[in-house]
Amino acid sequence: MAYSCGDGEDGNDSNRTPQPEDSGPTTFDSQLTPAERSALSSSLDKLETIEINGNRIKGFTKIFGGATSADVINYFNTRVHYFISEATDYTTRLVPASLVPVRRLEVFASNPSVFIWYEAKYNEPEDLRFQLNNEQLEINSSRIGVMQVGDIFNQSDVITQAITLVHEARHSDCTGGALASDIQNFHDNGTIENKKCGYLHGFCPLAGSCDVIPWGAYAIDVIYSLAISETCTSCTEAEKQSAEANALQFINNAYELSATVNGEFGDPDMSSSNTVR
Amino acid sequence: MKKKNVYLLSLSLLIISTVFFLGKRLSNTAHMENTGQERTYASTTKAYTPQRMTEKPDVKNKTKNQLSTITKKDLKDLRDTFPDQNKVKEEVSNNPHSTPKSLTIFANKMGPLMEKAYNQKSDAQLLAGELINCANDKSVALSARALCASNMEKLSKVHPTVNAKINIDPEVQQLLNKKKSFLVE
Repeated sequence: MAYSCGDGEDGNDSNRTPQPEDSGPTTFDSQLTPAERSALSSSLDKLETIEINGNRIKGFTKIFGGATSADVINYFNTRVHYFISEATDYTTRLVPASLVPVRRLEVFASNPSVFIWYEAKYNEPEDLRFQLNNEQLEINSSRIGVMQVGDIFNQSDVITQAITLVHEARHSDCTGGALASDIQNFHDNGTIENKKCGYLHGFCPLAGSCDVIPWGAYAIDVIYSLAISETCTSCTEAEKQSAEANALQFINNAYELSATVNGEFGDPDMSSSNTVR
Repeated sequence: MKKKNVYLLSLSLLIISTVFFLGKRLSNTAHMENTGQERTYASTTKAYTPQRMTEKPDVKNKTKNQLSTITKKDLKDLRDTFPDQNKVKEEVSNNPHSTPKSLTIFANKMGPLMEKAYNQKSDAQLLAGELINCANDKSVALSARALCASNMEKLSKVHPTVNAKINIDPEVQQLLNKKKSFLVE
């Protein structure tokens, strides 16, 4: 097994096309169902148009780089570029197929971006790509940004959908780069140690799935939800109630959120690296 | 002679009674003419229709229903959507990335009622009763109970007479306080 480490501080490999950091509008896979397309269109629209003031929620501007929906869209577009259906086994989209073990990954992931990247790194110097529509996409980092949606997403109200998009986007970040041992372990169905690559959830006895590090996906999810419930001026009361219910549900799934927003763990690192160490 | 006398007596009585009744009518007509109104006297033989008796309307309740737009059905429907804590746990377990469905159904049912309650004190008072039930019901998911308690606080700010000082379960209060700690004052 051979894999390469990235070059330079940002890990850019001069032989590969850098992953776009801000590619603008996302691409829908041809196999998305009409319901999935419709849900995505309306939730992306809501994400863009909702009027909120992040200055009134602790941690918001540090996460999103600003206080408005334009900043949230920028955060999102940097991390998610492609949508595929929940019914699509993303491993079947990795080409050439001969490089990918014939097994169904049991890891539940609505954003499998980091796992797609791990497979690509594992197979280097072979060039593994991701097939979407008529293109074979290069896989240069966890910010390839492939997100899956399905029935649960489709059946949720648009505010819950928008919050889910923001939550899932965080899973595209691999802060500090990947561990070589994790790439091997992932391939071998072993334990992944570095949770910061993909901001992977752990298991908490009372809350179930949870963040195990500060500023994880649940933290961002809750902070965004509170911005909606407490500051939205374009929302219906039902939308605000939905957002507040979400925040109350997942506050305890975030890692020590009070201490986090009060600075005890420093500011959030919103960067991502494709280095391997 | 006697026959003649009887005849004369009868005739006299007839004339007298005719004059009497005719005179009374003329007198009344004259009175009516004096008042400038024309009226038709109802015949005393007209059929009598007894007045239909109805209960005196409960003015208080009628007024209350006219003002409030939240109905008993609305409150029952809301109660029916209180998310059960075990059901919510199961939903989270099945999909940890999204708000539990029963919680969003509850929140979406709550929304329009809160709008009405913000706009009208009587609605706020009606809804408050249900919010208190929700906040204190240990079978309801904690997040939903906290949402109910939060809504009570919001309503009491808009309508100060809606009493928000209720005994809230410490666990619910803790969650509510945690949420509030993220708000910039």
